[in-house]
Amino acid sequence: MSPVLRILWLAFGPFGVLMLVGLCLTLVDGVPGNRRQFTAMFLCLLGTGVFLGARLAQFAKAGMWRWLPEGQKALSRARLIVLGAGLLALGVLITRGLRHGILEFRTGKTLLYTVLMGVGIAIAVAAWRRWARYPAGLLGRSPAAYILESNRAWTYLPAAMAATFYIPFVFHDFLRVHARDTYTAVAGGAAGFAAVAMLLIATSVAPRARLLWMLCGNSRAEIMRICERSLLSVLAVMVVFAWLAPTVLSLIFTPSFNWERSAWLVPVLFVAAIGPMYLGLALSTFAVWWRDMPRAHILFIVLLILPLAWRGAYAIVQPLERIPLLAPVLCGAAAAVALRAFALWRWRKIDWTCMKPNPVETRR
Amino acid sequence: MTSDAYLAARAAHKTFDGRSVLTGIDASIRAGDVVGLLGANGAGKTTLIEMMLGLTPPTSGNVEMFGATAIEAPAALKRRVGFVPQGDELIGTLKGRQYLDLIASFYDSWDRELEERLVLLWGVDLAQLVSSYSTGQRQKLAIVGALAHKPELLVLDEPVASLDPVARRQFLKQIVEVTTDERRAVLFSTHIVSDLERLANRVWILKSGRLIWNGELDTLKESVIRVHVPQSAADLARMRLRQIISVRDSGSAGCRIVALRAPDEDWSSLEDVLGAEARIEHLSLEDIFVELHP
Repeated sequence: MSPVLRILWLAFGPFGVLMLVGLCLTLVDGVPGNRRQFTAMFLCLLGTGVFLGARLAQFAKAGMWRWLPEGQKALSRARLIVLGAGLLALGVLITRGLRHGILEFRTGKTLLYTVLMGVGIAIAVAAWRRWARYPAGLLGRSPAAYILESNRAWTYLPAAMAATFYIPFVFHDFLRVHARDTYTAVAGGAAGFAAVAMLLIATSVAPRARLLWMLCGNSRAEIMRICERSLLSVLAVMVVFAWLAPTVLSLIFTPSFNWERSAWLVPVLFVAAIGPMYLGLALSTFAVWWRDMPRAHILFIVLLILPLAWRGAYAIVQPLERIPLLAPVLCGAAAAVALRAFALWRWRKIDWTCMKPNPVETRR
Repeated sequence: MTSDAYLAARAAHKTFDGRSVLTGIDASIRAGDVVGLLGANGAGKTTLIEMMLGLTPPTSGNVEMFGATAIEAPAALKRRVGFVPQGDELIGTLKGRQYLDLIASFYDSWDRELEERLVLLWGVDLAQLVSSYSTGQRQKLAIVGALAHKPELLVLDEPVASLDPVARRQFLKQIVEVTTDERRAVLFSTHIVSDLERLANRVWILKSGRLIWNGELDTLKESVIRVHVPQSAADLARMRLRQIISVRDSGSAGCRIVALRAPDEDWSSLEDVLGAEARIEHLSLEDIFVELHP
């Protein structure tokens, strides 16, 4: 990795870099010209809120700024610069929108909601980043929950959410997706988020499950089932959150809310995320080069899989407009069954010497 | 390979990226065995232990745990094993109590009384997060986790490396307690030869991935000799000793030969054959180890 890329990487992280790219593209794109671009701006604010939350969490975790080591201080300054750039870009967008009459005072209320939501998200993300290791433990204190609990992927989820919601709007032409309405677009983003989040979490399960083989009396198949049960619990929670996002947005912004369509979103989200979960479970058994690189697998997932996951999830969500959804749900379920068989086959021959867990886990 | 072996390897090879790490391993552990695994750094001790426990499959050959292929060992067999890995691979986000409760949840045979006794004896603070423990504390916690379900087979990879002398002595005492039950077996790797001499009844010596000794500790001590002979008798000694480990020529002072006795070799008349000036000495385990690793 070149020094420049490395500095960018260290300073901003994968989602920060993507958000920066998104911001630049939005600025180049010009003045928000329609509802979709306005939504893009809203999501941009959402991403900035997440980014701000992550930074707040970092400071909260370190106690106070002065306790941060010098290296981290430098990093944090760089990250704050990114955050400032993001906020500036948003300011420019909003000012230009108002000046050109695209954003009017009657949309001011919406804008206020948006800003408040951004701040709320920032606080929620900060709390999440600070106490991310606890949620999995609340899912039943199962052994694999402990494995998931110490999983750093949890802390990336808010940023993954921001990127998942944001990317489709930046790359909508490339992805050839054009949502018929905001609800479908946000639901697609939510499904994509659930899919990517489950993929992210599941890909790091096997190296951690090495502990279960070493210390606890379980066979490989049983260990996989333990991990699977915990992942399914996480999936259930994820689906609830992913369902809430478009539902709440729709309740706030849409005059007539379609409960039937919203109810159908639940199985759709489940099907969109369960396949990636099993794919992640199988992928986690491979000792591949990207596992050895810090955060590199996240970049890999973001760059290659996330847009695909979003596109796939969107393809499932799109038929929401023409209920019923039996065919896509059945296809998704069949894919999940096939991926589960593949994962089980991989887990039966897993070589745990190739995947030492991160020693940081046991160190302060 | 017989089915009564707790752990058994037959012609097991292991390679990583085409590099041979273990070659032709033939070994087994049965009830009542206390096997000490000796080897220099990088000899392949940890890989051997991990292969025997089914963490990694052998590249060729067979490894069995209680008669089943090690990597496919079902839960019923796995629960008969207690393992303390070399690295402190614990879950740092748990408190000591939570960690032990987690491990205990897998075992019906978990002995709370034994757990509490060990925790008290070793002064492990279960209220603290594992990540805040010192290396020695983590090692103690891992050992409690491996002992408290009273496993039939206890496998320890350099268990005392991080323990202070007092804790080390207490640990050894605990292992001695374990070994009083003839149905149980212990495999442990260590660099501390005195511990091995105190505990083990069998020794495996691993050198460059090969098991160069697999047998009784006493037999090993009886089977390795250092012979000091004058130059005039050096050739004769070389002819008489079938498995020579090392030869050091000290010029006019004579020659020093370290040899390992073959199973069918008779050394009873060796002193008579080599002459009055020859001196034969038996070595301590530490000396044997050093001689095997010139």
